[in-house]
Amino acid sequence: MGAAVHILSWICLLGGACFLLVGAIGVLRLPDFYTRLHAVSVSDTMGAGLVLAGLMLQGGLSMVTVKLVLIFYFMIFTGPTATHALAEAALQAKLKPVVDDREP
Amino acid sequence: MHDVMHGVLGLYNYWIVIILMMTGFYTVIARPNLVKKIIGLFIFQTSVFILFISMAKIEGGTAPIISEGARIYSNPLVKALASTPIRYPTS
Amino acid sequence: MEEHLINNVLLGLLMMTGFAIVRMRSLLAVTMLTSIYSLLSASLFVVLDAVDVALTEAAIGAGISTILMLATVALTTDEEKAPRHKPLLPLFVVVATGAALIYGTLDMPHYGDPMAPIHLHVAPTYLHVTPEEIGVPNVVTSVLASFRGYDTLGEVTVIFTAGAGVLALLGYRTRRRNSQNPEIRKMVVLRVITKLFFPLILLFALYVQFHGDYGPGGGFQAGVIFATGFILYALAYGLGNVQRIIPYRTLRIMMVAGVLIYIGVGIESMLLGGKFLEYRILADDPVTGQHLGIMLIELGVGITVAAVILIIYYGFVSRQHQEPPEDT
Repeated sequence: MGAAVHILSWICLLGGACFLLVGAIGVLRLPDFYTRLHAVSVSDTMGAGLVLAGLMLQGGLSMVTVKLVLIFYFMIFTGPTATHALAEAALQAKLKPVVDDREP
Repeated sequence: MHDVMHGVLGLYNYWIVIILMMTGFYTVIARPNLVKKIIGLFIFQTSVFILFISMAKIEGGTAPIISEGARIYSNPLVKALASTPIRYPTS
Repeated sequence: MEEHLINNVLLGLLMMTGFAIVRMRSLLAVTMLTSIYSLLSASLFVVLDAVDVALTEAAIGAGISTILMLATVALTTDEEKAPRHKPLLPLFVVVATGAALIYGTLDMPHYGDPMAPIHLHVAPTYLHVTPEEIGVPNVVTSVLASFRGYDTLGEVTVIFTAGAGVLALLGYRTRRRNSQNPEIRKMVVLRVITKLFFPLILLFALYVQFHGDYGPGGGFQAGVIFATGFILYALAYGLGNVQRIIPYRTLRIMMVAGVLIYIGVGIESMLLGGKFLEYRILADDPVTGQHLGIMLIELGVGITVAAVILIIYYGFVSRQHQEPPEDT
């Protein structure tokens, strides 16, 4: 039981780390603001979510897990809201996305 | 060789603190922009806190909140000292 | 071992952020980097066992400072001018000072050494005495609020003076109508989520305020979080709506009231026959008295801090919307 939970939690943590890495690479490599925002949201929801899930498995049934659930709840609300507000602000500031307009 | 590694790791915190301190100092004296100068002071100030708190850390200690199961606590006095000036930059 | 690794990586990141801050020209980007720098140092403080300092740094440095800095940048220019000549002299001064300081560290006790002189003298006494005399688990709170209560009184007075100074410099202009940025009005998601989280932030502030004896936290952090909640509300719904909740006049009274509560506790203990700020007089049982005193002065600190931060914010924002932005 103990070992299985441990392994599962490590899988979650490493998976979360992978998503965070993908998000970071995306921010560096993608061409314009909107696509970068998209990359950030990957690391925001999946990355942080999986890391929190892994930590909850480590914490077991305790006060720590309750706090982590609260943090998770906070993150799934604020992350997308911030991303949405940023995109909306960029749109209103008339920031044009980069479009591939070559002929196919 | 082992001794050198040990010495470098033991003093690493202080060296980074000095680099940060000098970064802040440089920003204050070399940049004419006032906002930049204030940010330089901010970097300097944070580096001083890191210096204090690095000195307060004890290997294997925990935060100085008395609880069962904890034996060694890191130095609380330094933390109190550091959290008093941290509040001034508000102004 | 893992702790060492995290510590070293965080310090490396801090150093890189510091260099980026010096090199960048856009003040907006520099402000955001400063926020990141602050958050990194808060994480570092957690690794180094200074949870109270970390909470303060996260709330002040990453939160309030960034907002105030953005307000300043919005009032002035966004771009730093390029320096006219190569800064050779400052560079030389900095390198020389740095080299001297590094030479000075060679004799210092190593990081984490339990036998360093700093751990042998006053600190063990505080750790030893706190559970018996104060009865508060968080030793940092007991040092700040009880053993060194005079210092904290001085600090509250400094914050109060800062608020008064900003008040005198920036002033405050009442505005007839709610001139909120019309574009934010359209952001329905932001406004709904803000409404959802506003009470939760205030609840968390109260938790930090009254749980400060048992865990990391206290009046200062709570005041900052409290003010942050209102600032978030102001960002989403406009300053006018926030002023319907906390009018400017109330804030001025709160700013003074916090300091007066603090001093009042001191005078009350003198009237009961003790010394200034001697809390154990306040109740029959010395430990209960300490609890009561610490709770009251933390409340005073919290009220003053929240009021001062909101006053500074009101001052900046009321100035910002009044003047039409100059064309750049």
